[in-house]
Amino acid sequence: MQILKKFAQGLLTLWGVSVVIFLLLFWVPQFGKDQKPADAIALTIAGARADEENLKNIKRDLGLDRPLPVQYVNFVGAALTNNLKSYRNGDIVFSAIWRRFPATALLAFTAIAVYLVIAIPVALLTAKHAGKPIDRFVLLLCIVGISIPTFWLARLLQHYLGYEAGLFSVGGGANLANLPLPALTLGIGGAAFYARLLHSNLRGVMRLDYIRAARARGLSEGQVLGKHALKNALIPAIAVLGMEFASLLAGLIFTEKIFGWPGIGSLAIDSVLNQDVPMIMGTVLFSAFLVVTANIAVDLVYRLVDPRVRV
Amino acid sequence: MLVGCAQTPREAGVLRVAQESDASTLDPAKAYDTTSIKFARVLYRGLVDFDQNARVIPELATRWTISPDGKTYTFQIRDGVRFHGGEKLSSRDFRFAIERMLDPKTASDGTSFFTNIVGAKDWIADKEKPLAQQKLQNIAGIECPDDSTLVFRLEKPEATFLANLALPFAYAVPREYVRALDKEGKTLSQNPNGTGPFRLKEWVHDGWLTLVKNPDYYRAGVPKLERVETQFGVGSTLQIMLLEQGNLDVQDITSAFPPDFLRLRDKEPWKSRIEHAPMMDFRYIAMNNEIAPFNDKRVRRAVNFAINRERIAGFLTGRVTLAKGVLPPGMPGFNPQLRGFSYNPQRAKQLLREAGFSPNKTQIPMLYPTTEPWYAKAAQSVQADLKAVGIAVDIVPLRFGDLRAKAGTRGPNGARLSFNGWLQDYPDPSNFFDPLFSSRSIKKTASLNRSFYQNPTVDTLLETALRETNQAKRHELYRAAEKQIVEDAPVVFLHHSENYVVRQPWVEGPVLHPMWSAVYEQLAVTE
Repeated sequence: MQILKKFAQGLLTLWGVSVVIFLLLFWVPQFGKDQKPADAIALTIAGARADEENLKNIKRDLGLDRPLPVQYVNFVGAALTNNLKSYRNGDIVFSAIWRRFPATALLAFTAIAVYLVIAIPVALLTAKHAGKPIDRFVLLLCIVGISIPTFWLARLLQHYLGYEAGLFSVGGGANLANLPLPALTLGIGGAAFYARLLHSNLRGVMRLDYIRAARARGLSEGQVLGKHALKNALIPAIAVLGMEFASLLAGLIFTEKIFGWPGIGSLAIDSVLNQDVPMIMGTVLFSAFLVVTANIAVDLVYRLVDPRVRV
Repeated sequence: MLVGCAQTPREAGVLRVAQESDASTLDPAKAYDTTSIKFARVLYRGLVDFDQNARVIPELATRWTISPDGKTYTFQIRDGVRFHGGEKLSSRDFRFAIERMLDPKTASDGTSFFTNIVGAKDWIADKEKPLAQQKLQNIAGIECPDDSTLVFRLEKPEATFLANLALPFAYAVPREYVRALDKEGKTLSQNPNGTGPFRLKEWVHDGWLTLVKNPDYYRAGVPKLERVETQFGVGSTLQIMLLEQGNLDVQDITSAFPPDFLRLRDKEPWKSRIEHAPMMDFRYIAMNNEIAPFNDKRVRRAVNFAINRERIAGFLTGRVTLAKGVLPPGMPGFNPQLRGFSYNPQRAKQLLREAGFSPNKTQIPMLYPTTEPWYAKAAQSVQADLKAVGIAVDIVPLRFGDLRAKAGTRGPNGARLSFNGWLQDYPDPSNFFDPLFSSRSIKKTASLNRSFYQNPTVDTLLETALRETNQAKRHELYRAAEKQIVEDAPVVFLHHSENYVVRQPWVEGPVLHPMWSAVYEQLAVTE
């Protein structure tokens, strides 16, 4: 029952996103301008052929002259039947997105791996030395890590680690050789966030009775932390992963563009720069779909690892 | 699946390039942006082409004759040429290409280049009718007496007709193949089949595009490359890093960020690997000649004297030539003796006094496009220059499409001052003067003559030049027209851009061309 409710909520969210993105593109832009959004779109498509007759034909062909509710229904219909087509090159929007999905997925999952690979040892270290100078120093680093904007970090890493030091590739196609720097860019902020989250979770768990019991049985502090405390500290962190996923997607947009990584993020930027309206709508909807799916997935995993949540 | 192209190690015979934006189409009938034209031309070929000196040379036509009245062109087509799909090239493929391009369904940007062919306008009108009412089989003025002969009849003589035929709009497309694609609902853009030196291997929109050598290209020993790998979505800074690391072979740095550009330009080893040539464009500020104060020639001349062009060139780190007139250097008919305007605020003030101009209270809006970052700086610079002589201007940034619409609208709803650029369709002076300064290109909307300038003397000179087939005489006529245009100053003559390209030492062959942004068939990548 709970699961069904989650799915229903997810669908409702997607519908809401589709309405908002439609209004943002077709209704809002007319305010403060002497031009209707449909005319602006037709003008972009017409390019050098922007005479009255052509503009009228373009609007008729694309249904841009119909009332807004009709246009919305057409848009949803096209999206559901995978008939949404790019204004620029005629690509089927969701097929184009799907073709780029593996590149983005590879980058996103590597970034999440970077989160955990950095965050877990750091959190164990700071929990062990809580309150000591090393903990305070790491705290400072984490605040910096969380605060750095991705687009700036991306350029810094690209320039210093890639271009100057030549340690990693500066970017290019979506392949393993080009993966380290974009993954690190996306991973650092999340790692800093997770290091703090795990740290406070660990501190909380360490005060619980079963830890005292473990200590009483003569286990070393390392075993207590790594084996007993960490497991329970990780559970709440899974829940946060769903939310963290949305900010990961936002970071992907800049990161992919800067490193020339041909994924969905760079597709989103290109579609905005080209004013390719169907592609903009497609990338926004698909991102919303990913966030909703990630949240449902996290919910399911959470139920598996923490039996207390099951009803 | 994940592997893109760039970043492959250097390999003889493989050219690796990267650019920011993708082609919008590979259909020669629709290719009208620089990138689309570049690829359409290596996949397809036409009757004629341009050589390194911007002269029209034979391509798929072996020779041609022009009737004494200049109205009939007869082409002999090369024997034994085949399309990538194996179809034998026939004169009818050229006729089909032009008929298809003129069909309003194709929505080509090239129709205006071919409406001088007898029957072309009737063809367009016929195709606008519902299918059942369409009567015409072919355009009356294009005849195919046999597979290797093609005849064009024109309504009036046109000195640029050969140049028009060198544009991808007129390149041969295999007629049966295209008809079959149409039936299957597929596009030619996605399934190209031409006679060009390269074939398409793979094209992922906004991702990458791979060309492979066409082993059956009619010209022996060409192309020298086995493969051309282009990656899209690579920003200017990343392009230059990849170049410096040896991961790209040829790179256009015309619009690279100034620090990146200067790093390459001023330091070896790159310094000596940079080449440059005129882009064949004209950047100008259109003044609306029909609305006060710019309906007065003295005010327009004053504006030209008031503006410091050197400063604007500085924003582009000097990648320009200051404009003395309309034609860029390197263009046939370019007049090196033209003096143009220099920065002289005193002279400007004097002219404004003579015109009885008193400093304006309500600011005149000056529009500039947000496409290139230097425009904003240039607009501020011009605003300050004009303020110094008493003309108050308000600067307004606009998206490119909005600016084009505003600047092309006649009357008070249009622009009064706007930054514009014109890039050649082909290297011929008519392609600058006729669209920008002929009264015939004044329209109510989408006007190409954006200063709404009319001068009967200039109109007559341009009309005569378009009919004159003797090139030397034509160029004299254009020089006279240009002199008059500079005298009337309908626009502010800013500058002509300069193309800059860097190559790796292992790349051989020309990297710059007066017409095409790349001539891959002439490049080689050595060990």
